[in-house]
Amino acid sequence: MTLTTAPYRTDGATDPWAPGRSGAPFPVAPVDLLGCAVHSAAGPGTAALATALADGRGPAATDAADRPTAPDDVPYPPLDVRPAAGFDPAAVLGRKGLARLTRTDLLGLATCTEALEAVGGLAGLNGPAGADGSDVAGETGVVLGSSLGSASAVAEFTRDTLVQERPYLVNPSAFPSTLMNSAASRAAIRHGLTGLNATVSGGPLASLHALRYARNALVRGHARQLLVGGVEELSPHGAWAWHRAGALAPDTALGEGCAVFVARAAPAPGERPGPRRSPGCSPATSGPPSPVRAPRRGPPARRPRARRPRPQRGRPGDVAVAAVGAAGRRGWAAVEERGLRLAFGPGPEPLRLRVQPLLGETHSASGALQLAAVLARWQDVPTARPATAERAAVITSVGPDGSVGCAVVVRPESA
Amino acid sequence: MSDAIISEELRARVRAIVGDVLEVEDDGALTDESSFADDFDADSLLVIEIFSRFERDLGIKIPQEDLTELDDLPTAYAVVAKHSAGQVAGV
Repeated sequence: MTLTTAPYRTDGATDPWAPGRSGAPFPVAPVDLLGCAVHSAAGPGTAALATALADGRGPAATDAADRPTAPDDVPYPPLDVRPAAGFDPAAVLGRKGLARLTRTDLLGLATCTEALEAVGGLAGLNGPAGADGSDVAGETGVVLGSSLGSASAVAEFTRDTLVQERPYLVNPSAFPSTLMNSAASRAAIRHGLTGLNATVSGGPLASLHALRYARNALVRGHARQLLVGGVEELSPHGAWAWHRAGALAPDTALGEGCAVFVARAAPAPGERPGPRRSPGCSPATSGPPSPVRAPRRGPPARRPRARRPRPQRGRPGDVAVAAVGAAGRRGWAAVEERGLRLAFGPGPEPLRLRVQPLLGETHSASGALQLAAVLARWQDVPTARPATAERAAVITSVGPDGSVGCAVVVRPESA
Repeated sequence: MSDAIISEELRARVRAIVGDVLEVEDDGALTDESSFADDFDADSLLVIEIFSRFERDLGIKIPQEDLTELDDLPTAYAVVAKHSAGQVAGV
């Protein structure tokens, strides 16, 4: 994990989310999610994800053009693979310079770009900061969850040291993309974001680790807003590793994807809210859950809201949806299910939202894609699930080393 | 650098490598007067990649002290000519 911090100026104000603050609606400090962008086998955007979830079916056939290739046409193993459908990085980023970027770079960079666009760019994040946007760039950062960065880039670079005439005859331009922080740092460079920049590695929990890391940074004032999410690439190299390890559950496809959210510390009661708000969410790993509030439905409001409804303390019974993450791994779905039953006790069971049958196993991106699926369910099919019926959801991840993580996301209409 | 002797074929290969690394789509855009940095947004890493491709694709060895500023085709021709000639001569 690499980390740089740019302290957010608080002008001597006390931390609004310090433990013990009275009247807080959540036991831990929440953050607001202002916007979201996603790429997966369901296609680009939350609307495509919502449609696919409503249909309950994965893509009928993988479009061969979507499947990432490797140099020398390294073949895929006999696995069902689910590439990000309709992913066209050149349409988002322009054509120049893409040849040197890995699939992880492309997914991370394009999705970060779209997430920023979803909130109106840096200008849309101004809020109480300077109107020229200059302060905003310094107080905005990127936190991505990953497993290895680009496994295919590491594999190809290492292979070159063995098969070229001399071991040093590697492509020097390929080296930066072998670093885990490549996608997050490229996103920051492209958009001039000089705030905190970090990549958190954590296997299947990586996205929840990233959410928790981002929340801690936001509520402690190390950044004003963060692009936070998870990314996982599909490649023949990674697919062979999954195939040989036999870790996928039967009939589970191998997928890829990226989901990025724009997160900001929720305003304290009485504080003027930022210009745009979306659902709240609070992530935790191996500890108490923390709340995140989801973005508001529909296009973000142009002007700050005049007042906010009085928040109410969340209850377990409010959790109507459990977006589960372990279904793609042999044996771990039962562990996750047992944990959920223990957590919710004899009360009403939250509905299980399973994205793996649709998107495939997406490893380090899974938590972020599960969160995107919940937001898609609330934002893009709103009439069927009113906020009164589904006030909150949990996102769960389980790792093969026994690590577990959970995030709670609360709808703004009910917060 | 002086106008070193370089065959037309080698010149074309050097030009192709530079065009490939700099992602020059229009074949006529890369001329002897073009600046790699100003016209094609080349950065230091891309210049290193160009040197690396010369070594890898042309089978020459460019010593560290000759990894100087490279910003146009005539300089690239001169570097390649100097070292390919040296290797042919067994130096």
